[in-house]
Amino acid sequence: MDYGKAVLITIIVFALGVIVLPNTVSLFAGEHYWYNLSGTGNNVPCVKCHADVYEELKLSAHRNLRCEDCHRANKSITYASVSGSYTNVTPGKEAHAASCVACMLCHQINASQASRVPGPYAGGFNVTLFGVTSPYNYSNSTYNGICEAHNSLVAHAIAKANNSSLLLDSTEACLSCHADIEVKMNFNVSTGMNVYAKDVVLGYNATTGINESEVEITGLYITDFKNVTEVKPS
Amino acid sequence: MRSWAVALILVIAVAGLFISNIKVVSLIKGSHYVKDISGNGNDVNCSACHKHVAEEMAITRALHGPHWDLTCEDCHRYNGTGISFATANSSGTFPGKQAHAAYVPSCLDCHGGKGAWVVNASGVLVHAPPARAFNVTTTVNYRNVTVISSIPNATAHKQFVAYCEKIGDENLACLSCHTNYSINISFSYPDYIYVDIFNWTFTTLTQISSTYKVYNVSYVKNSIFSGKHVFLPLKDINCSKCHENIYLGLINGKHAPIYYDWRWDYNLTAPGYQNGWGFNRYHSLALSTLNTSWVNNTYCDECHYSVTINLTTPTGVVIQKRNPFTAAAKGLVHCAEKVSCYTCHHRNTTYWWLDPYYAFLNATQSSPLDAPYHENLINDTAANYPRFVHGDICMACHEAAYHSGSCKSACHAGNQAVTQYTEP
Repeated sequence: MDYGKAVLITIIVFALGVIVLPNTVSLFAGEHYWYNLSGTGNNVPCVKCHADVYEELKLSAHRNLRCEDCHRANKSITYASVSGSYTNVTPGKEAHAASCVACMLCHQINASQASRVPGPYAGGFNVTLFGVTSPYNYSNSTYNGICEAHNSLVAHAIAKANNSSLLLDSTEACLSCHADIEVKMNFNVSTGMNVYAKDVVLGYNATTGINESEVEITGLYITDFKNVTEVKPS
Repeated sequence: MRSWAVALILVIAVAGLFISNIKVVSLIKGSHYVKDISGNGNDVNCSACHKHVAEEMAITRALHGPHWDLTCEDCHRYNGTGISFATANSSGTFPGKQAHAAYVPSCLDCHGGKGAWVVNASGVLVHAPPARAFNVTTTVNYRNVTVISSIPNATAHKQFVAYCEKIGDENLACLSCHTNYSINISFSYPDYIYVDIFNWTFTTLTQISSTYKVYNVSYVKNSIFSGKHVFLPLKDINCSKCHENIYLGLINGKHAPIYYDWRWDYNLTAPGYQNGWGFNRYHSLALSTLNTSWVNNTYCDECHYSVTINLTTPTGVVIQKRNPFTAAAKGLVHCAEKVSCYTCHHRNTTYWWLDPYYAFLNATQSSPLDAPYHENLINDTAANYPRFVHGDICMACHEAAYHSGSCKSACHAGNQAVTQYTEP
């Protein structure tokens, strides 16, 4: 018997089984087993679809958080919810099940916009120096962030997010340091400077007994910019 | 049907099965693996993103240059400035105030004032010494960090540091010498000075050229990145990196009278280390040793960072003593003092006593040589003309090239005016 005949016989046997055994089958197994949402908490298992997220989360610093602690935590969003025996149903407005979340929702200064478990303030950032706007509180007079070296990274992440539907606000910048993701960065760094110096006369100095002069700097410019790519592995 | 085709179908079916069971994936792999930063050290690996900086620091460690034993956070999370960084450790989490993860330090944050103590990578408390003369810190900048306010006038590079501070980054001045950062400098200097000499009588300097020439110095480093984190050992900081013109002047005999006054050239067999009056020559150098190898920082320091002085006893023994008069010895100088020939070789200037020739250059005393004409020239120059032409005036006579012939050929050929070209 050649392989073609073997395959054909196998297909016929399976076909007969399908026809003979159940009378009818639904298109998807389990599609009529509805989750009961009337309990407390989240009754929809996010992990069913987001197993990869679950695997990451259980090893992360956020391992004690539930999905909804972040993704249903925005006070300005009305999520669909059910309580009691379906007697109290709130339809979702801005979101049904979950929303994307910016790190700063929970880690901003005075995280009043977060309804769940506000995380510790990040603090030490100032994005207004770079002229970007964010719905979150990065700084105040005490936590002014004016010395932070990564302000530009954060500000540019916000600016990009403001024109995108992907990661919100500064999340991309936060993840680059705080999460185990691959990051590719192109640094444009100066490797030198041009200095312009000129002899100038200062006048007689009684202390030194000399008609003093000095080399005055008339200009200084950072130059020789060089592109360097850094790749942080995940 | 061939067996390989059957196998292919099965593989595709299995792959389809897997694909159908993967419902969704997160936007960025790893984005939910948030690092635990609750340890007591730095749990965020700076070099993961700043690999090239780490590579430069590795070079610094190999050179055993300054900062070779420091960690990233020793500088970039330095806690002596009043900046409060975000921290998380066993004591809890604390939000950053002025900075979150890191700041760009000013070199003077550690090297200003009396210096600072930091814990190095080995856990040892080490001292960052003050950058003498540039460590004067009395004002406060926008970051609430003290900055330079008054650098002593005797300090060379004062204007350089002050200018960098003015444009908001005094580190640039530090980087130019202490790291492998490259630098191009354009020096503008007067083209010439003009001396009237009529009937063997010096009248006056009449002119400093209003025409400026430009001398360009270019130092191109060999660096893998920016060079900013390759900190050079002090012994490897080379004055001629920026002062190539002076270096060339030295090896060509035009910057300082290195091989000497007229008596030397008229009597090459004379004892090389004493002049015609029997004094030791400060710039003593035999003609046979005139080459590039001795033009190093040590030689520069003899004039520009003089903290000791050789004194000859009546019995001819040379002893080295601390020089109590120089700005360098007083701690008013960082690496070089502004000097001219007159700093040592003229009465009424700061260090005149160091110079056994001062009487020769003093118009109030009799002189062994053509008094008072040369004295007039020298005194007029010192009092009325700026420091940067003093050396040129001196070198007009002392430059070795002139002395191979007659003095008259340069200045005393008769009624004439002398144009002395300046060095940059």
